Amino acid sequence: MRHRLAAAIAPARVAWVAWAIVGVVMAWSLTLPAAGQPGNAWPLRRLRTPEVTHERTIGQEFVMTRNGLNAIDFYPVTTGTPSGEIVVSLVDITEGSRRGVVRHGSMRAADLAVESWSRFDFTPIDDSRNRRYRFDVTANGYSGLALIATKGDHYSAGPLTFNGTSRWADLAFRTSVPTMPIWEALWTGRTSAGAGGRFIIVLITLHWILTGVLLRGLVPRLATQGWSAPPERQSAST
Amino acid sequence: MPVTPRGERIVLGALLLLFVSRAVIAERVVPPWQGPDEPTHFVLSYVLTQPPEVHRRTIETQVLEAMDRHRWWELYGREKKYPVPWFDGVEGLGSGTLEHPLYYGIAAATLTVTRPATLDSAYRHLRGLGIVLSALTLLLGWAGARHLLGAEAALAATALAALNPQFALAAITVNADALLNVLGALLWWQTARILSADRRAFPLILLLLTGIAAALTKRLGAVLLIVAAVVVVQSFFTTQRWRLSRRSVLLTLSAAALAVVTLLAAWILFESQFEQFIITWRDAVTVRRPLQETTAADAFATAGWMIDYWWLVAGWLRFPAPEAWMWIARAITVVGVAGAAAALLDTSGRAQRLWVPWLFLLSHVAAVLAVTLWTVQSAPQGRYLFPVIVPTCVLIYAGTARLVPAKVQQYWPVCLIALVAAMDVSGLALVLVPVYAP
Repeated sequence: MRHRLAAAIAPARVAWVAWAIVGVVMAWSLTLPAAGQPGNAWPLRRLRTPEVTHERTIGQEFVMTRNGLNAIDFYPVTTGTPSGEIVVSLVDITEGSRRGVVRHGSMRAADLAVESWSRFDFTPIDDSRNRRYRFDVTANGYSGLALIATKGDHYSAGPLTFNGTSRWADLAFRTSVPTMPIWEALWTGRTSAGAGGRFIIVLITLHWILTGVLLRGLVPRLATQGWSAPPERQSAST
Repeated sequence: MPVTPRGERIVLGALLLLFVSRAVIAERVVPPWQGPDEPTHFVLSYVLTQPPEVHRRTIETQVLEAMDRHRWWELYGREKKYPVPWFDGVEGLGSGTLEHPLYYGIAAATLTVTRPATLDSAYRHLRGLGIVLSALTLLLGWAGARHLLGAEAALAATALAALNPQFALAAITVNADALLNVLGALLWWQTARILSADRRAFPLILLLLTGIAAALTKRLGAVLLIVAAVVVVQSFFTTQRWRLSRRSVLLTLSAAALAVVTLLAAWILFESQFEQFIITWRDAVTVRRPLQETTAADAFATAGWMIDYWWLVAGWLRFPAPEAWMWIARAITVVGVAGAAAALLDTSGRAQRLWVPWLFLLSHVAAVLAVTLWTVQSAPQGRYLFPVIVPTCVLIYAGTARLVPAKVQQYWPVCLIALVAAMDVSGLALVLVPVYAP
């Protein structure tokens, strides 16, 4: 069986395929948004919060990584017939320079998309980068809506809060800023360290080529003999 | 297939070039001062290159201005306090001293040779020093693994180390870690030589000198001194050629007397520094939290953080890799370590020698856990394990290889290295570029 498999798929071919996969991952990486935004879209260990009411404020703390924050998505689900208004607010809680509520809004519970993402749009915050916020959701009565969250600490920079108290969970949320793909941002700009973005693209390409050389060059030397084999005789070069 | 040393050297060269290229990418993407504790370490190095009349506080002010220019406060998530007063805590430059002088001396010597025109240039030159030292760490780590476990394990483990994203960040961090990592790798190499080669006397001396140098580089370096002592003692027990002769007794007593005289001379000549050295060490071993307060859950959580920090958490522990990415990294680590632990039960072949990387890794894990849980109570940063990065990668490689079914084992090394290479590239795109560029 082993020989048939080895004959069918030569290790050198596996190396080429592995190199191609690394290249695909690299190309995919360059299409990601240059502005990495905080969020929690983790699909596992989901839970429903209690119903959002005038007595319950459910929030999520997060650290914004880019300027221009202009929307937050959250994920409502029904607990009954939606009614009344959902009240949302964005509170700046940056240590040492709290600015309080910086954006505020309300929306009819019956108008919200349930069992999917709903969006709280607002005027962009120009200097949102590296500021800590809490996104609060409450209601002016009984809303008939709850929110989806996840157990644990999948978003590590801030917890879910329930009436201001931290819980070991995170709200399902996404943040939004105007952005472009990494490759475009690099092609047209410079890094924070002052390097030209195009130079970085060249280095990344070189990195990929060297990875290929490494993978292909390793093949004849990595035909592992199992850990019960004795060590080879040492070469004088070491 | 038999190993061809020339081909092996070419692959090793490509591997080192690959590491340097990605370190340069990191250097060009990550702005200055984003490595933990860099300002303090830089000042201690830079001040040694200045005329005596230049006060340290003057340089600290210049560093604070440079941090401001490079958006340090913004990236740290704090409001800028500028003009910057003298302040303590995380926003200050700390209270570093020169009681562990080795890195600062080497860094100052480097700057004396490279003659930077500005403080920013000096910082970049020291980043370059870090990259060189890190490449040397990989080379020495490879040499040790090659001696101990053969070409396959050496190349695979070194490739895993070279593709570790946090190691690239450590390489561009201006602090004593890079030197300690080299010393750890040198110690690993000499240990391998002692255990696998005929020549013992010179490696033993080099081993002890390396341990002492490590202890003079950073407090964590004392662990390497302990490892060196263990290896020396072990080598006495496993060789027939070490016999207690009058000459060796005299030599040992002479060395001990010389050490005592040196210590006394240091105490008399550098009294204040020596006392500070003692205070530092006393603080390092003072238990500040009752042992019984530590639960198994604490220890497991701390070990979990250590794994995360070992793979990728950038910028003063503020920017971790995405959770899905981190779960892959955790899986590789846990499976590798579990497999390597199981391999200890094997009684033949290379597996017999895995106790050596285990000794290196466990000594460091124990030290980090002890410091984190009972004394300093700092974060269990993965960089503290980088003095043993190649031994750790040996265990990960050996452990995962052992658990892979035999019929696909020949493909596993390439698949594992490609997986880590893909994680490395995606880590750059998912963490460093979104945070720092452009």
